[in-house]
Amino acid sequence: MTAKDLKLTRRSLIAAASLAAVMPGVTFAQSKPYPDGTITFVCAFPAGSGADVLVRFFSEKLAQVSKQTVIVENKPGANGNIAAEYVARAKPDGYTVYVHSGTSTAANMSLFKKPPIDVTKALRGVQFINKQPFMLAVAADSPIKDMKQLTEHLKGKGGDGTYGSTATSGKVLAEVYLQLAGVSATEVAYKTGPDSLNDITSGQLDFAALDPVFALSQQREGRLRLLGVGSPQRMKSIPDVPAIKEFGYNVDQLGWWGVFVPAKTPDDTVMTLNGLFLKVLQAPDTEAFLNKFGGDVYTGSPKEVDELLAKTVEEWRGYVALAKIPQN
Amino acid sequence: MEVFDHLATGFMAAGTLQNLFFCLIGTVLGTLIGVLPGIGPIPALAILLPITFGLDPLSSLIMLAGIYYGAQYGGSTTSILVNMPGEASSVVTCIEGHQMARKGRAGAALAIAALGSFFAGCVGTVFIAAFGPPLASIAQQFNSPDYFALMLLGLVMAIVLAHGSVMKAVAMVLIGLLLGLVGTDTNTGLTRYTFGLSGLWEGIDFLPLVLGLFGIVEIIRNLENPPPPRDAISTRMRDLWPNKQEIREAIPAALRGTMLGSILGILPGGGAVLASFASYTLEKKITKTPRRFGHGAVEGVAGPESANNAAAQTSFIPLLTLGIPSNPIMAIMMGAMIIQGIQPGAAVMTTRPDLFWGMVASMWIGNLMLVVINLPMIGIWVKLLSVPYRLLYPAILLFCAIGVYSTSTEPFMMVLMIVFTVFGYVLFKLGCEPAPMVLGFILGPLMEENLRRSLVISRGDPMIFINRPISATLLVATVLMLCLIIFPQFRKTREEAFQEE
Amino acid sequence: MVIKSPQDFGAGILFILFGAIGLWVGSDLNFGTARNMGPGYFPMIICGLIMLIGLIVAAKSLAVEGPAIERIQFRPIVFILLAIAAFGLFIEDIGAIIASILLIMFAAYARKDVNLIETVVFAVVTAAFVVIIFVYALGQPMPVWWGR
Repeated sequence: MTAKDLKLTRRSLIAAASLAAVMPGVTFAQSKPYPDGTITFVCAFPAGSGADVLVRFFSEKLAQVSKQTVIVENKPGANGNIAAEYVARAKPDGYTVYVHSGTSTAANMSLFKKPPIDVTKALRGVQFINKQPFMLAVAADSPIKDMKQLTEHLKGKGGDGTYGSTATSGKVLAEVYLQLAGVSATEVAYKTGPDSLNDITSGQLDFAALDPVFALSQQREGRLRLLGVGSPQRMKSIPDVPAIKEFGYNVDQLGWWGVFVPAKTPDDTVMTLNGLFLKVLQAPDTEAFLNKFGGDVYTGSPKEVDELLAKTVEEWRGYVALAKIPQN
Repeated sequence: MEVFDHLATGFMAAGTLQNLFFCLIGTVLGTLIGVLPGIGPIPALAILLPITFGLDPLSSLIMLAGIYYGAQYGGSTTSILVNMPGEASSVVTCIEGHQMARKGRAGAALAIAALGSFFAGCVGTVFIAAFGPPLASIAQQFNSPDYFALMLLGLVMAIVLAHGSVMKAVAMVLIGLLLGLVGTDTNTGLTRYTFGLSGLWEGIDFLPLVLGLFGIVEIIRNLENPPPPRDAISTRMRDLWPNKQEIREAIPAALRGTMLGSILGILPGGGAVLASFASYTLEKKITKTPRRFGHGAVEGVAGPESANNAAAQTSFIPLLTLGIPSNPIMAIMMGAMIIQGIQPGAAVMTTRPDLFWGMVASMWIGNLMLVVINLPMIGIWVKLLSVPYRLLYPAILLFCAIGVYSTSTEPFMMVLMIVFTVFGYVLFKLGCEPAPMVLGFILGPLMEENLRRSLVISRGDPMIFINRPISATLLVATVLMLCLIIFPQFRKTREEAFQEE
Repeated sequence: MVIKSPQDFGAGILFILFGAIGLWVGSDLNFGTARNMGPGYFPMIICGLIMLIGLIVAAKSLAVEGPAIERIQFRPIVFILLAIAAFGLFIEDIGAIIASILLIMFAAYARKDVNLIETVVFAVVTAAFVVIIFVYALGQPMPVWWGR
């Protein structure tokens, strides 16, 4: 008797559900202009991580300028693929927004044997967020004072050198430099920056390729010396750190974060969202916030985001091969 | 003494009405979050972080900190009452605390946990104030080989956690280790044992694993063997409170736990989690009546609870003194500080003494608030136990499911919970204990990571572990611990052999 | 072959199976050498050890007395698992309230002599309560009703 009750209840539930699902379609004709409703930011990192803080910051700010509720949904895993796929499959109405590293999104195309989506086709760019280069660093008390001395030191070690890395971008930066400098060193991988700190400062590692947030905070603490940034020019927010390129190594690794939506999102929605983000990015406290996280503000048009994404995808095909990163 | 001046500054800063208010909110929220199985402090902190953007730095830090150690207090509540650990450090409290509850001493267990935590919190705060910087610099000395040795010691201690067969316990630790290796291998970036499932890329999530193994299996256990109908639970103070005997046993354990936790909390990367396990091991090894363990030994609650709260306090030290976060929660706090324009590190003590000492003072205030909130709540919690079980357990199950789902909106979490419930059920039927497995799960991957890393750095030379003083010492301690475990076994087998003759 | 300790025997078999499956699944991982361990080194050794312990425990169980395995009761575990499964399956499509009610209903039937009315009332009240806490008070992003 009870099983039958359950069956009936479920069937009528599904019937009611289908009816309710059709209803929103009825009101479509009289909908208000975008944005009007809760916007969801998708974050590919777990709650509480450094990147999550950045996404939440922007969710707050955008909520203020758009006067809508903005919530953050964490969908970590598979190096961002889970989040990217989720956004690609979401309704292209501008209410599901992916805030993530453009570099990482592009790199995934080469890091996986079978990427779940083609990011250049399944997503479209809305706006940039920042430029954030990775950096090469040594212990503050190390005798190595600049990139040239690092190369000499590694030459002297004849391939026995080691370097710490905390992310794929770091590894790629280091490997590109090593190739250009004509020296070699073994990578020692760490999950997070703090994990690597002790090994760097005690001199166990010859140098390290680190994310800007961690590298900068430790430099301020006097524990690390930053030898150079991977961007082709010095960053506006940290003008005293030279660009590795200045020493003659043609390194051009500019990490960037951007805003993406499903590819079929209509143009006017994308432009509106671009404008809202622009307002947030132009505010002085946003610039201060981004500088603290080791980056410069970066703005542009949706077309420029799409172009840079495609360019980064191509670059990374080369990087993955050069750095011999195993594919998953 | 200078320290007193500093503390005075701190109390003045923390004692403002606004800061007291935020301390209260933080601790209450933290307790609630700790009590709700399935949602832990990390997602809660992340969610509440944006609210703190508009507050001034000290207030936001006070509130966030309150949530963190408030959750430690709350986590033990569910461990004791329904065998559901809210996070890693509460797992140990399940072992003895829940047994005490089953014997009708739930109130006493809760009281001991609260008081032990309060004591540890106070001592921990004093530690930060007096010994912060020098202690932190010791932690600075830990390199990869030292971490390996520490984790190895921890794993050996895990075997002591079991009270049954040692062989089975070793196997459980190893199984936990293997499960911990599922996911992406840090050293090479390749995935292991993920069966092509993207949900396993970051490894098996801790929460569904531990809830399935401990909490849900407990529900099934109770349904199979319904405990005898409980008489009306008395809420007289006398029965809610630990009796003289229990207090006498608890105090030394709390002291030891506090010492152990204070030291372990400083070590980045797993120190705080080790604290409660280490304390349990210690208590079990030095007691004269080891048979009581596993059946509601008071020291098994007092020690670990004090240890994990002490560790929670001292885990702030690396962040506040050196600017290094020692666990993911500290990383969030660090993010909060950076957003507020404060660069965490040695300079904070001198450039913003009100911030540093205000934090220290607020931790003490927070602990006081927590014990004031939690002690009267004991009566309510115990009353809650008297709700007929047939209504209680579905509600608990729902809290678990919705809690896990809310931290990561992936239905895959439910699958994991189901898998581990089944696994836990099989283990229960076969007389294997899940606690050593959990510790293996947490420590194993860290140990392997550091082992391989050390060998890469030393270019394959295993002497690196002996050459460094810290790792050498820890390795010796591990060998000693192994002997402590094996020799009583030998004696026991010899005794058995003699008996058969 | 007399199994003197069924629980231990079962445990031994469990360990052997676990280790064997681990070895099989991880066989394509690079083993490496002791000085340069690959991703497969540690797992393989661990699996081997687990199997070894399994053999020892199973062997011992033939000699030493031990507790018997308690009867498996299907109703509790099956219904509890169904409850969780129902929740996971339906929450994204039908929303938290209905999924919660389903969970509680299934869970309740894990025992005998269930009073339907009491269970339904309890389910609705608890589901509402829980949703209020998680979705409104804590602001968790989850669908309350069907659609979003």
